[in-house]
Amino acid sequence: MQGQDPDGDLICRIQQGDQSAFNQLVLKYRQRVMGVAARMLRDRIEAEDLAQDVFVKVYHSLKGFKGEALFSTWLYRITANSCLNHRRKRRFEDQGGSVMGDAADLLPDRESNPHDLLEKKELKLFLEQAIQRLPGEQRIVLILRDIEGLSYEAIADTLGLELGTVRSRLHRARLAVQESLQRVLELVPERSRRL
Amino acid sequence: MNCREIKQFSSDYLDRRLTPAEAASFEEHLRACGACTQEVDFLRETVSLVGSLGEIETSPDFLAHVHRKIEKTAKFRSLRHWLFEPMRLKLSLEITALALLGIGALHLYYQSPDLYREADAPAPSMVLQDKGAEPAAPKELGERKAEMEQTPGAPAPSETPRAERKISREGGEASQDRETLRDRPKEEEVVGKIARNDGKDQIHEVRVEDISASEQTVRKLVAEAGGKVVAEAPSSGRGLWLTVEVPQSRRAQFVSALKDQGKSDSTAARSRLKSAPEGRAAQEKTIETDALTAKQAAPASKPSAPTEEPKVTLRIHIIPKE
Repeated sequence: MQGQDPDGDLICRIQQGDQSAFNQLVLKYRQRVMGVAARMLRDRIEAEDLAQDVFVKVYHSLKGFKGEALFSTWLYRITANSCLNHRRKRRFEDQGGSVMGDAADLLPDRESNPHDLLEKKELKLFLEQAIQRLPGEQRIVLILRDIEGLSYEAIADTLGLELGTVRSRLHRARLAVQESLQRVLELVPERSRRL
Repeated sequence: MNCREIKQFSSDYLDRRLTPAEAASFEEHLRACGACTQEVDFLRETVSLVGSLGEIETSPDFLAHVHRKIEKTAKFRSLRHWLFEPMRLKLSLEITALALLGIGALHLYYQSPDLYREADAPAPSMVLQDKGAEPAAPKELGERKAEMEQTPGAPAPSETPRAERKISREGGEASQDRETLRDRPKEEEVVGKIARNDGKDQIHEVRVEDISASEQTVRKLVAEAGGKVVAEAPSSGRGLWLTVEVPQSRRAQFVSALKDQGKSDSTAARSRLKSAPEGRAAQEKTIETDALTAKQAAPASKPSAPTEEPKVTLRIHIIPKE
């Protein structure tokens, strides 16, 4: 499997003690890991701390990595489990606060000119808010599928879920985000909708 | 497909997870239903917008922090690995080792009771604790006088070895006893003292000329009573502690014989032990000097049944006559 894995060579070198290979791996995946952590947690500092811990776990566990799955799938599994465990410990509520800032007051009222109100940046913030309002189990699936681009099967493998469960959680998450964005999408011109 | 199904399968459609037949049915409905078409378009746009959010930057020293944490955890992991990995093997070995240590400690403790009791033992003149004996019935207690030492104290060397005391003994019961002694041959004079400790325990001390010979006699008496010596330990002043177990029914006879052990004919004491009936009732006895008479007079008592009969533990303190 490591032969088919785009990270196979890096993994082999790391397992042989090549420190620079590990550095390359960190630099390659740090933003993806951070993206998952930041959207699952509410605090950016905690998210970055967790992302670092993910790579520490990877460093210590890589000797036991047999290559049965792609390294990226394995990495996402560690990341997702770390985030979910962290949330369980902290008992996050899906209310208030956002690693992206508070964009709730940016929602335009009906008398405002939508063309003046929403730039790409604000729309992005609004989207992030909508995602963070999702329950954790839906949020992680949406992040892995629509942001990180994992397949349904990879998500099922990463999270230890049935395919049907992945499908239903993803669909509900998308509908919830869509509902949050309904008014904004109606008001924002087509040309402004690409971030 | 109907509108409800369109809404249900819209994500599958967008992700191309419908079969060709399902996809065809889906699109056919969209062609006919503007509302569903709009819904699907909104969903498509939502997914596209979410997908365009992109990655999130880390701090510039992210990698340095990772390495710092790796160094911190390396020592802990090394120790944990040494202790617990492979988990099944090492954990089971460690648990087994701890269990064996615990068992060994308990074994040592129970095998050496005298080590502990010696430390708690009264000063040399005080002796036996009669374990397993039942408290005496009130009327029997009332019938007896005891000449005893009240407290575990010094041997009181000034005590006359020739004092006559009366012994009353109840089989299997410990309480007060009286002992009557007669003059004994000088070289094997035995002084037995019976002291009362709170009216419950007996202690017995034997003063002899020859510790070694007395020890051998006591051992024989124990064997003939169907008991055993369970522990021995030297005491201060060249004396000897013996902890013995004898069947409860033979206790009275054994103690009586023990006090007789200083007679010139050591067989006399053993004969008394053999000949005396298994006793339970209280009786006052006077220790006789002529043990042969006792041997001839009484039928042989039935042997003890150590295995089934409850045992009492006695401590005998053999000390040199001063």
